Amino acid sequence: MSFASDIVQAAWVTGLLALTTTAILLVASPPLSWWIARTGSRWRAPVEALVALPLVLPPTVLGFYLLLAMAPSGPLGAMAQALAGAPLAFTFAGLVIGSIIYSLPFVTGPLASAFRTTDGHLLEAAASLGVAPAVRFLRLVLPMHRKALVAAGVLGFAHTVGEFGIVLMIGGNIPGETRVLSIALFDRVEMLDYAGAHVIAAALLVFSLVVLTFTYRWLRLP
Amino acid sequence: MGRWQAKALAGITTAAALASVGEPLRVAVASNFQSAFASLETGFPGELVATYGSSGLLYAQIVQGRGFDVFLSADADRPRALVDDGRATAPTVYATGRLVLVVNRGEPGARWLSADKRVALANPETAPYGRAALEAMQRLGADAKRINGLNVAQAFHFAASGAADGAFVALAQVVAQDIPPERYWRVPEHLYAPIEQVGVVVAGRNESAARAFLDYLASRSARDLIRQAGYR
Repeated sequence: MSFASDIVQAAWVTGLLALTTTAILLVASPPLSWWIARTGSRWRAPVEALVALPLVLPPTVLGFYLLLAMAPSGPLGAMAQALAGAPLAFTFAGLVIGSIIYSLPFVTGPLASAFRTTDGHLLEAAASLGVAPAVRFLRLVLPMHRKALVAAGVLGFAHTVGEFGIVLMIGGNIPGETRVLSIALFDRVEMLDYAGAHVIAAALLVFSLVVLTFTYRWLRLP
Repeated sequence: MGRWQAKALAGITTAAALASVGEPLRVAVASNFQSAFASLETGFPGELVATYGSSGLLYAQIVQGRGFDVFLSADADRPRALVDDGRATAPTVYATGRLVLVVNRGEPGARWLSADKRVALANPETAPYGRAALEAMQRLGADAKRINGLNVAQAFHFAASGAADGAFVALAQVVAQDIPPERYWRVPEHLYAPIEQVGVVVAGRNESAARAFLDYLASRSARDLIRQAGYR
């Protein structure tokens, strides 16, 4: 395959993976973050630690265990086989699951921090007016923290684009399916195609810098 | 020159070279040769420090100036590139790799490679065993789904984890891992171009000791160990 079509394909897979992961995280993270921010449960610390694990664990550790879990004999793989009749390891769906775990703290963390600053009086007032908890959360809390939501989404997206170790362990480097840009870059280096490697590396660098700059600028806006 | 003469000569040059060098020989070793290298180390009179990795990565490190004295590549292309650039000398085929198909379930062979199977191989674009595996699959018209590992070690891991149904790996790996013969198939050698693994002396201050080490690899005792490890 030509360099250009290989890169376009890898960019497409990368973008689709980051979008899918971010969309799922933006639905799943807010309730979890809210619980973390407001609960008095003794389970808060262990749950928070579990969510934060990808911040400190080498991605290869996650990938190593995920591959075992996603094998047809593993718990996730067996479940996928039973529900969808398809394997999970070396598939796009498998990468999405890996990315959700990997990027979870980057979405859940900022959201939980923002939720801790929620004005309690407002919520109490709404509660006394008989507004249901779920409605309070959707109509009051989320709009209040829309900046944090966008920032968390951008961070989750960018972090997924930058994923390497997990994809390396569970992806299988299949063109058009699991070959993302960071893997394509690694391939170029192995092929001694340093010019191609420069193109991908520079594109990822500029992308990350631009995304972060816009996010920080946007967060500062009144 | 007879075998014994060659061996004696290798011994003399080794001793002479080592007398002049007090430091260990730094050897960059392609990952597929890891277990063979471990058994060869004890037979060499000097101290060796091995760094294992994919040939592409080791090559890149040599070009960037990382100090290695010997490079044992998994292919012939990268050593040739180093020789062409004047970064290395004395290219020698130290081993010829054998490709095998190892499977988790079923009877390994050409028929095993059906469309419902997922078979791992080293990346054909970067790894010689991957290229050989792809060539063999194409000649067999096999339509099993290909999963690309970085190298044969990862291809092996993909199968060992159970995530892939089988893998094309080096015979040396299944020998080192004591895989029972009924679980692997030696891919007939007419199905792929020979995997000639070439070693070179990297230009630098330890060239004579490096040459002695390559001579040692060509000695009869070393050749026996290399053959036992799964090469030809």
